[in-house]
Amino acid sequence: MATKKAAPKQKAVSPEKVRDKNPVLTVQISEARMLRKEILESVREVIIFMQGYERFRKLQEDKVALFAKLRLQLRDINRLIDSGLRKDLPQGKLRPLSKLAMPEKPRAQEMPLERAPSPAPAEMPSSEQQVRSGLDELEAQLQDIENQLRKVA
Amino acid sequence: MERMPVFVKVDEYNNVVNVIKSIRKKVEEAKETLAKVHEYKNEEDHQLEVWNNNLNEVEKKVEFIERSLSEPENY
Repeated sequence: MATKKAAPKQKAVSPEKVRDKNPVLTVQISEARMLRKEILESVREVIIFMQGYERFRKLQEDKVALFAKLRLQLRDINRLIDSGLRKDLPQGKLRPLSKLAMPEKPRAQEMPLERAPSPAPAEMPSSEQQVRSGLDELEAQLQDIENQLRKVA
Repeated sequence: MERMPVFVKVDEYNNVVNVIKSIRKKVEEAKETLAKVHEYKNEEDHQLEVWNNNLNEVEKKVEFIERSLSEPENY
């Protein structure tokens, strides 16, 4: 049979003893007005900082929108050069860059340089070519153009 | 073969000229957009500079406050 133990009585601590353990200390501030001014100015600076953050965030959003616009404009230029000019000018040996707009039909990376610029049907696109990113595609096209330029020079 | 003259039909030539005009217009627009991006970048740089100055100011003030509190006046 369990016996109940009486809970230990908590001794009442007198306020004087507490004060002895944690004595109240005071510090004299020599330039109280100046200190107050500095604190207020610090708070003001922090608020200005936060306002600047909002402005900065807005700037970044606008910049992202501008990047998207720039991307569209460059895509238009590419389209005009690729389809507009290429359609009417005599065909050379450069490959078309129309793959940027149509990534679903990846072209083989290694193509003979003398090949006619007509849109080449994808010859058995492997799974690796299908997952190739747009950046790789651009890199391949750039390499091809550089090869062509080297040949022209 | 490479030095052979190239001829373009006149109607196609007109098309080409029009396309080139369009391209030039688009390039101008892209240049304007890029200039705006540059402007925004400058504003960002300016804002970063302002933040830097701001933080330096706050740091100085906090130092002063700390000094005032930790080094009370001696009698």
